[in-house]
Amino acid sequence: MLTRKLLRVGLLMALTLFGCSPGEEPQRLHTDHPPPVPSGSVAVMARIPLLPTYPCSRCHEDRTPDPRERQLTEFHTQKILHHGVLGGWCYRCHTKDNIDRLHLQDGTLVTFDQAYELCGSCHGDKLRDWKAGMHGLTTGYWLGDRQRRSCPFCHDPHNPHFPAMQSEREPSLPRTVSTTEARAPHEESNGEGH
Amino acid sequence: MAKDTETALDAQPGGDSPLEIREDEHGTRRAFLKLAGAAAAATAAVAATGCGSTAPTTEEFLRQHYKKLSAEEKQRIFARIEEETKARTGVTTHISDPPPLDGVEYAYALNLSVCNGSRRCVEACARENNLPDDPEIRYIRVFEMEAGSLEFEEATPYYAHENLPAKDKYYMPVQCHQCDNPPCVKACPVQATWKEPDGIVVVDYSWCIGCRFCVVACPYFARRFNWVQPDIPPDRINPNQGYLSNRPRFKGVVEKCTFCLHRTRKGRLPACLEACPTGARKFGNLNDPNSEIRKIIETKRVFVLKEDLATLPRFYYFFA
Repeated sequence: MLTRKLLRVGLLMALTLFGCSPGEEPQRLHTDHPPPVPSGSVAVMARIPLLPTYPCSRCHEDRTPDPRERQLTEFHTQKILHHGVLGGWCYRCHTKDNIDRLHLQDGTLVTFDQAYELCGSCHGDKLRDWKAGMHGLTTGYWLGDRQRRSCPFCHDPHNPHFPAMQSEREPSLPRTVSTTEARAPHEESNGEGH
Repeated sequence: MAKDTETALDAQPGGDSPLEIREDEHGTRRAFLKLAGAAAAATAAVAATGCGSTAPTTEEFLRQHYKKLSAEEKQRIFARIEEETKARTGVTTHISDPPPLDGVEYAYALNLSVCNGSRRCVEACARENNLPDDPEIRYIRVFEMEAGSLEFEEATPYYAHENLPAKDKYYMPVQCHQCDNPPCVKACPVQATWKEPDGIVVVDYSWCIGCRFCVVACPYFARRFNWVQPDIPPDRINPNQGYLSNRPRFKGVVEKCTFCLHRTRKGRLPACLEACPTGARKFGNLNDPNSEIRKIIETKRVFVLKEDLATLPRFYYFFA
């Protein structure tokens, strides 16, 4: 009887000492936060100062708008329109009556600095991500002021596919790896795996 | 030294193999004493010759671990390193040691849908962090992956193209993931590397003994070892240096990406992020609910590399 009691007491003590012991804290991410540090403000970089021919009205003032789709031979000859299925030629986005402004599909006029609103009228998901800082290039300070590029900084609005780039120099190869082997690692050579 | 060891072991009575010798307590002690004597003689010889310019100064040799250094001691050490750099390269540098910011835990995210593999991040990182070209040390490796595959055995970092991205490929840059449960830190026998409160895993190059256990322990191959004295042309040295990040390294120590802590702890974005032409890289404070990084983690399908290893990386990938 006494032995059984002792056993029970021992078991209870063991449970108290070891059973509820937290032991080593499991690794957890981001617990016990101190108050959050705000991450500063974002400014959208101005686009207009980078447009060499702005204001457009300087030339277009005394010209009659021609909405016909055609090969431009006099001005803007370098512009290639390769942007989805567009009807309306230039005046799908540029404004006939106010050439220094762009317009959304509902007729709202926006400046060239606000071109992202126009892009977002078709590419709403990208605009949402860009506004949240998840899409596009932002530079400066994560803790402080930073500058965000709007769509035309990276995508030519007339031909928006991101331009192809050349790669920076290739990393140097380890002495034990041949160029062929390194560039096509899935093609086995000499019957050896990689 | 190796020859001494062999001689000592061979001299044991009946010692045909090392195992037998270890079983003989008397023999083992004798061998140990011989070894110890040889080691002491070798140390004395090295001390007497001065061992070239890379030998630590007395102050450096006797200093405390980084975490035990006072502010004054740190300033003395920084000044000495600045002087050494000036004498060696002629460049005036400034070493700072910005502390972790309260309430900040860093994280990085990379949008694989837009990364075009141009390696601009790799080179910007090299310039910012004073990485040598010969021998080439780079913290970021960009893998060219097969579209629709996450198989690294089919991927290669050795590609060169005129027009990126290549057809049916995508690109995955890999660098230090600043793990919350870093295996490299556990592997270090001398605590020369540790995780800071803001999540960045750092190395004190002056404390590193160059054993390379951490290099082997890292499942992302994010650590680099200086096999020779790194040599950077003076005009390419970044004078804005951090003690735990881009200050000069030397032969025989391990280094790694530190999320550019000499920039980020002063509020700036990392160099690789600013150099990215496609804006694929995102960085910020995980503890700020309004930060870009939090929005990405909350709204995108992020994933980490080798999740099964429970290293808990702070480096997230996503497609968007």
